[in-house]
Amino acid sequence: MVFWDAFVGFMINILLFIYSTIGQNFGVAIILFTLLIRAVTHPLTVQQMKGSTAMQEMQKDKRWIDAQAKYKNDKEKLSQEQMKLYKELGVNPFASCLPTIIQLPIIIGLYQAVIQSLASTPLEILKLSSHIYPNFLDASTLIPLNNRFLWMDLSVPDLIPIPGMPFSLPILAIIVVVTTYIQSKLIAPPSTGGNDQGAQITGMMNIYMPLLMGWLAYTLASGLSLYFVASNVIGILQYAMIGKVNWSNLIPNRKPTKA
Amino acid sequence: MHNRKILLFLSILILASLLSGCTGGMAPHAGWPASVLIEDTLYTASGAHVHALNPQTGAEKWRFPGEPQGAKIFGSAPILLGGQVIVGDYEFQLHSLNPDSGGEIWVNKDAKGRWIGSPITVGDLIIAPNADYSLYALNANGIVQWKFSAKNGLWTQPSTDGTNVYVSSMDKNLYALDGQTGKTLWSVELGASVLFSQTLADDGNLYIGTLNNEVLAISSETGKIIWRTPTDGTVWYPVVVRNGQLFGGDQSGKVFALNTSDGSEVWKLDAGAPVVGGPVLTEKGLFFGTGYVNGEKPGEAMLVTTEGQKVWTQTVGGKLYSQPVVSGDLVVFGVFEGDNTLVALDGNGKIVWSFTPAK
Repeated sequence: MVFWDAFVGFMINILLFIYSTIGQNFGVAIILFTLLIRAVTHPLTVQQMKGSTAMQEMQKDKRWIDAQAKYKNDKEKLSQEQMKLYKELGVNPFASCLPTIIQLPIIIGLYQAVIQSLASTPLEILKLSSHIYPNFLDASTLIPLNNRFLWMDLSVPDLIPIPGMPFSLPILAIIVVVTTYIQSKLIAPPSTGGNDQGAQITGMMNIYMPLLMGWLAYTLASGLSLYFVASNVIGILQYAMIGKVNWSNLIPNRKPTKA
Repeated sequence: MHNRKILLFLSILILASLLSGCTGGMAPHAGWPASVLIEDTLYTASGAHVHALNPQTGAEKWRFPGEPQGAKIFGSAPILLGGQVIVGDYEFQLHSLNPDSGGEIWVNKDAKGRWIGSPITVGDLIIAPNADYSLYALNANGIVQWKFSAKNGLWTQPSTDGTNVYVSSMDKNLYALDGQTGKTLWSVELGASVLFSQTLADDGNLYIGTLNNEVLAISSETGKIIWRTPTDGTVWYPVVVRNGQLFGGDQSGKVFALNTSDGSEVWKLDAGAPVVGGPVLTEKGLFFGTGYVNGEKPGEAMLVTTEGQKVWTQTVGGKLYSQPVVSGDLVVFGVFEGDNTLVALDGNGKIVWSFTPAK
């Protein structure tokens, strides 16, 4: 717990350093901070993609498909055959999930750094001030943070009243839904057939995840929504850079292309 | 496939819970208890309720609201105006309560921010600071009479000499206003934000601690800064002034006394842990509470003489960030993240009663 607090404190100091360097605009600081973390973890992302692609390729191998059918009632034997194939083809079954596991605490740390920096109550200010390294940053010039960005107050959910209407429009939450949907469609793995259960699950995720993120964006501070949008857009660019984006997936009724 | 769908749905629900958990849920975190003694009742705002207690026994007279109302949180001590207890919450509502029963008389919903600082009264007006950058003046029926806008949130309880109102802001300024009209008389730039630390002393000066680790003395008549003295940490709560000396504590864990004439240091004592809540002065000396911001070590209540000698310390469990309250021979501490919400000590540091709200 103490180590985790120290780690989040480190992330907060980086975020606030960016904030103070660029003229105290917290919205721009969130975007640059997300970009920085994505850049730092980029090698892990590439490794994860390579591992994932290798696994997909292996699952198309005739020996793999045959083993699935032959030993479908003998889990132990199936496992042995799979391990044998991993060795023969030089595929590391953990190559795709290990980078994700390493990245996860960094991403959660980033998320918590954004949340804790959006301090708007005495308790939150107390915690934030205790995280700031006194020899590195001057808390008195940073607190309170300038939470204004474009039309938003980043410390509260983004809801724009519509004249004459009884409800407000959550513009940023809508952008979060759209960018999450586009990202999940663009990086969706290629389908391997009509009964591909993986593809069906991916299809469900493409619906559930944007709705979940939209709901979070609707209810949480808009600074966090801004982070979601930045993260989605940077993620798309990242995957595009390594040639793993299926642009044709965005066109309805078109068969997904293979990455 | 059906099972997989259920598994996927559950995974997403767990992810949503985790993400919400990382933010502390949808509501802001409840702060530490804030208490005030008015006549023969101790009023404490803590979490979802305002409690009215017998200050000698800790027995609860009433609580408001009877049951928690969603994410409603009370973070500032109430005040009494005529026959009304006035208290604000974190859902932007200012409530008027019956002091005998806790029944709601009226509620004002004009503010767009949290009520973090306690209000004061000036004549028949309630003067209430809000985090939406505004200072509201309301009549006894809860109708806004005037409003003053600063450039950032107002968390500090304003001070008054009965005519004028002085309020410092997160926008790094101190403002003097006409208490009846809200017209600005003067303002002065302090160099850093002010959380709660503002005191109007009998000598006519305001003593203010800022986030820039300073205490400033300012003339309430002109707004001129008379002196400014560095402290080792942030002074969160109002200092106490008596006989030409001011006493305070800071987040670095120092308790100190300064000369009010020039800000020079009289003495300084290491309390051993951050001092967030300010002191309260009795005939026995200064009562302080301490509390670590991070870590599991509990804070301590302590008595320090006005000459800077530590008399005793008492561990009560939890963090003591609140301003203590004196009631007769007892000193009541608000406890944050402890087993109890309030603990009352006698002058020797013995625990006389403790209060934990019934579920």
